[in-house]
Amino acid sequence: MNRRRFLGEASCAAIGSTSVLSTLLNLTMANHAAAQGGFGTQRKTLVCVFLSGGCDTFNLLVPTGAGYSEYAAARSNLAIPQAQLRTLTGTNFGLHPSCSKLAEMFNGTGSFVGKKRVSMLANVGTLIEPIPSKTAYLNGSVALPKALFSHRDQIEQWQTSVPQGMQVLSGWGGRAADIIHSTLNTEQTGGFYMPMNFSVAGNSAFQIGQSEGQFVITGSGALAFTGSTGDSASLQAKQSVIEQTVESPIEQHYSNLFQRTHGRITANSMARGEEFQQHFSSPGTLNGQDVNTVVANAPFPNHWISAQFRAAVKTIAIRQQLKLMRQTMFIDFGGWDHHAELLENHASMLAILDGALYAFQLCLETLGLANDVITFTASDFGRTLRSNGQGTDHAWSGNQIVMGGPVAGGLIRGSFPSLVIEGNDDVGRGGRIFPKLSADQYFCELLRWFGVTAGDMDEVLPNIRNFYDPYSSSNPVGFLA
Amino acid sequence: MKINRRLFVLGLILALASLVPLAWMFLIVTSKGPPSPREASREPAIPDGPPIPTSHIPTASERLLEGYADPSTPPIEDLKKVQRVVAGYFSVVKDASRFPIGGNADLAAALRGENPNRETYLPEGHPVFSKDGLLIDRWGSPLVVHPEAWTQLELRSAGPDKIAYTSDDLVMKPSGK
Repeated sequence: MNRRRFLGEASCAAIGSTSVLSTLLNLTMANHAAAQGGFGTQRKTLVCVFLSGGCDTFNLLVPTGAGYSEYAAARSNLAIPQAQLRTLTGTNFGLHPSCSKLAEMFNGTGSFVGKKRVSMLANVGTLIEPIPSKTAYLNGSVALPKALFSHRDQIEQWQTSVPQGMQVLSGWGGRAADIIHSTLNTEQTGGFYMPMNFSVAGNSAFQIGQSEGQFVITGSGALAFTGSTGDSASLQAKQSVIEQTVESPIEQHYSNLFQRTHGRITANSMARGEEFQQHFSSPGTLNGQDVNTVVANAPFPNHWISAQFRAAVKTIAIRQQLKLMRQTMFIDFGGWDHHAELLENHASMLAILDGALYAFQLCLETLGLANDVITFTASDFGRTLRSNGQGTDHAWSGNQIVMGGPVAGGLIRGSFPSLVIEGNDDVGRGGRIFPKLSADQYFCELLRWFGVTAGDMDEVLPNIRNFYDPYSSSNPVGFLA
Repeated sequence: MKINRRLFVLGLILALASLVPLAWMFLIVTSKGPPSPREASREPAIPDGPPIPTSHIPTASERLLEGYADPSTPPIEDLKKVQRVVAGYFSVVKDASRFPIGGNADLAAALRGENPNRETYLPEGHPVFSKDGLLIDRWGSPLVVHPEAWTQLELRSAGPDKIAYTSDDLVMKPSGK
């Protein structure tokens, strides 16, 4: 046997054994999950709302009472008057005046009487390991996230949860799917395959895994290969030609496994798109309510972001038809990079976010999905406390929103920092607060609820043990009931 | 004995090799010669900062910034010059992400020597710096240094009205456009 033939056969053997190993591994995982028996028949969805650009969340969650003067001094001309803040009952904090609906869901009032659906996380950010003090940051004695304060790097780090950087990019949602999809979405049998990660905002690192990817949809549903969908004879003919073009050369001409696989994936995505669209267009009823009617009547703001939330509701509502016990959704709301005119732009955008989250949660409540869905926010970074005259600049830690039936609403979790510029929690340059709560802790709590086992948590969140023992009986943050 | 001789020769070679980059840098600097009479007589457009001593040997970054804020050149040229300095900085400082640049103050400090190499790219008092150490445009306003990614900085001058994010701003994208 010559060297080339050996290498060729060895490669094929490797592919074959990988497949067998994967199957065995998946069976093992399935047994492991079944043995734990904690997942039951509840369908669950994690919805990530990414606030691209770096939302100034120290003007979203604001200390009141004794803490207000510290805030007002730090923010100077950008400070929100205390009297205008939306009260968060039982806390020493208020929300931005634009967030009346979020306050309603936090307090359990209005349409949410008796149902506290929102909690806030204070001072959370990307970390490799805990930062014990400002001094530790300044003298470089702790490992720090790579390239802090820049948009693309910090977006990537929030979505990968590996702030030291990765050779091959994968997101924590994607890695969770690598583990969960085959073990918990067990209704998918007989060649039926529907991915569990859906993005309404194009490709994102968040949902890319080693074996699982993301299924990108639009506000109108699946992206059609033909450019449009319909039942007309001409469109069907067009579709048929495309399918033949993709499939026939594969079988007839290509012996290369990867070419064939690529072609099959392409053909499968067309089939999946059709399957998805069929259900998305006619989602039927849930809890006695017509899904399309509920979505159409919900008070979504008149803004392009609402199309993403509407599509998310419908994609969650058809999870049974898609044979999904678990799914993730990715929504991106960009435009938060407010170096100028922060007060005006931030207020109007927070009002849109407030209205969209409220309408989204109302839909879930009406359709009986509230206890199965957790919506959470993330953003590139928090912003400097000090005004640059008209806005704020790139910083690090911020505050985030968690919403849903499983959330222990009405709480502020995490440790709200000192807002004194150049104080103990500011690493410099005008109020860059360092995080005391890591994004890993935040995500770990969501993933525990979602069904990632303690044994698999390191695979999804490689740095988690620097902050929390995945085998602990208590949650890492405590925002879930 | 034979081993000692070999070690001595090896040490000599290493010592000579380590001197090569220094000699090369020295040659580059000296080959440039003194600034041209036109350059030497040019009044700095930005009055801030003390004059650089005449005995000072300009760094490569200073050379890239020659003619900065010259009223006879288009203002966008100033941003192009700064961008070239930034490109040079990131090409030389390989692990610059350890000293992250989130804005003007970070970049200014990095160019003054707060970087992993502890290398001075622009000396204190260079006319591109304001009295409080920020990079400024020809109208004296701090440049807006906006990191899209850690090596990709958008540069913005507030323009003649000295107010950033208005229609007379000058912007240089990381792509150079």
